[in-house]
Amino acid sequence: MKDRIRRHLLSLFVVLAAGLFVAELFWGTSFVSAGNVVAALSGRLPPDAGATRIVIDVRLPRAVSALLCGAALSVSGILMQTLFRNPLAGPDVLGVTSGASLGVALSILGAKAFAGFGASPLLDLGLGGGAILGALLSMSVVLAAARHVRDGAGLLVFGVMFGFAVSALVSVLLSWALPDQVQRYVAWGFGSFASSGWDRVRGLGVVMIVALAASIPLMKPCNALLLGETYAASLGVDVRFIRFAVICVASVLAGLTTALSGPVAFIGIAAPHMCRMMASSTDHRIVLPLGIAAGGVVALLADLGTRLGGSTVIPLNVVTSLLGAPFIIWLILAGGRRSRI
Amino acid sequence: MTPVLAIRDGSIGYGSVSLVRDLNLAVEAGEFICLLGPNGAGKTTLLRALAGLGALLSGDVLLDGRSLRRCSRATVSTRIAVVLTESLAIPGMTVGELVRLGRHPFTDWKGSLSDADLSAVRKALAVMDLSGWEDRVLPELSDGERQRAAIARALAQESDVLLLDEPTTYLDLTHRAEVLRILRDVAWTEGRAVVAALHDLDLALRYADRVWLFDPKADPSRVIVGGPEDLLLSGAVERVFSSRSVRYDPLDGTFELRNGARIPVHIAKGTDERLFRMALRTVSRVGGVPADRREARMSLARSVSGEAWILEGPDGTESLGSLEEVAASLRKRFAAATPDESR
Repeated sequence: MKDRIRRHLLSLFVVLAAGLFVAELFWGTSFVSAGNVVAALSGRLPPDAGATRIVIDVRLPRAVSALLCGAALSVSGILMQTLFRNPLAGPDVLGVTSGASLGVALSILGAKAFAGFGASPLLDLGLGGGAILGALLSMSVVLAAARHVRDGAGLLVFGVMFGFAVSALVSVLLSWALPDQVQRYVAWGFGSFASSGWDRVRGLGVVMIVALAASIPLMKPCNALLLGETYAASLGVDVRFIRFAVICVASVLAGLTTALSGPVAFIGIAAPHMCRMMASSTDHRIVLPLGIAAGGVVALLADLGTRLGGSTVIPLNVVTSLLGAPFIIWLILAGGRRSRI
Repeated sequence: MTPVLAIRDGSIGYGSVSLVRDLNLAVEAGEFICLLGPNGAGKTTLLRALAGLGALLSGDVLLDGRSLRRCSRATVSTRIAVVLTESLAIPGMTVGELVRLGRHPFTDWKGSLSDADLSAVRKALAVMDLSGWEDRVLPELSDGERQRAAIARALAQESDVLLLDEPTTYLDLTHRAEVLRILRDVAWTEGRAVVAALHDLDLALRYADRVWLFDPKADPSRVIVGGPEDLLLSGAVERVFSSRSVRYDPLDGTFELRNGARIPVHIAKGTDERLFRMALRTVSRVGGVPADRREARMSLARSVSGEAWILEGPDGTESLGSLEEVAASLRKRFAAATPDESR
């Protein structure tokens, strides 16, 4: 009975994601008729037609990027919450996003230094690599801190402080940057799924899909990790290896999302909770697939939300914060009573 | 017969600090062993070492005669299940999910449970009196209920060896006795080896087939092994668990307070054994010691009518309706007696 409800829940989220994905293609700031959208998608319009440009080169990569980033943030959040045994952990809360931002800032500045080699795929490689490295490093720092901070709230404060410090470091770095680079970085900080063209989405997206796939075999050991490392070891889990794998997958997902769409807040912490509450389960075999679909749904919804302002685009992080912050606050107040947190 | 699990020349502890050295202990299939000793003696550490979860500084732990160092974690997890003292109040996790995790070592990479797995889970839940509790969320349970779920998880693992660290903590008295009975049944009827570190001295001594007694006062690196009654007779249990203010009475299985006035009181032994024992408890509780008529300074007896207690002493004779009143009067009389006289 319960299993059936859960399966329906997964189908529901998949259908929702598909629906929102299609909505992304049909609705945007510039008007393209529904007929032209279909025509552009089916390749019946010339490649240089306005509708083709808008639908194929702008809206489609943006929708793909939102779907992937949402799924990645959600899975990254699930993995971090399990690894740190802390329901309020997430890539943004623990300073992992800030670490990735530092990596991005460094690779942008580095690219300036090697301006002569400014080939776009190479830059993307540097961007993605920098972000992953930054995320990995900051996650290792937080994990090392977790060994000394036994108290969950203390760890969260550590993560937030660490994030502040890293962000400050980024600001210092930016003082060497050119004004237009600073402007680009600030705009990037608002988060957006739109800034990624096909080249970037294709390159980073493939790695993201691989990382998402790599999280599937982690579902079972992660269930054991919920009981703590000693219990997990007694159940036959190679705790050190699994911990390493979880850190890698979570960092790659959080890092690439940051490289692709900026430091997107709240999706990584909110989407996992949504799934656990709806499925009333902590079993990763249920929560993780649901999290992939639900993360995509939330990100697509948030991206559509940025277009509600008509001709003025509302920044992505404003939308995710307006939706996510009240949800987390409600979760802490009501969820605590229902033993969800 | 090779013991299922044994520790050979084991030295246990953390880092460079060894708590106990030269340990040589063994458990055979179908045995229920209780691990007793004061706090900090190394009970938890020994259980961890036996489970292959660290804490073994030198020596070997042998599973079926084979060193744990040469067994993979996956193999060990199919043979040894543990109950730790760590809290399992995991947000959102249900009792069913927890107990199903006991089958973790036997499932495929996806973690899908077979019918056999599910029946092991159902059985463990039933044994721990938790049938129908599958969907309850762990943090919402009482500490004792959660402890039962933790034991159910270990039972569901259906391992040859079961190691439990203070499994009766938080349980009410009925469930304490019940858990010990279950653990012994698991050992006796299913032929598993069960080792439990316990603080319930009396219960442990009533159920254990054998006791491993840590005796840090006599020798920090020694563990005394024997049947519960033999250890009681040898005085080992009394020695380990008595202090300046508390004495363990091996025959009664109770703790007797050594502080207080220690004034000798004679208690008349009537026909009703229950009345005599309760009177004895009352006297010891307020600091008196039972004595024979010649040495006693006061005497307590049931009235001829059988409806009151008669307390006689230098301060006069009283007829008291209940043992509560007897206790109050004794306290007054003890306080009046000077410390010198009480020696």
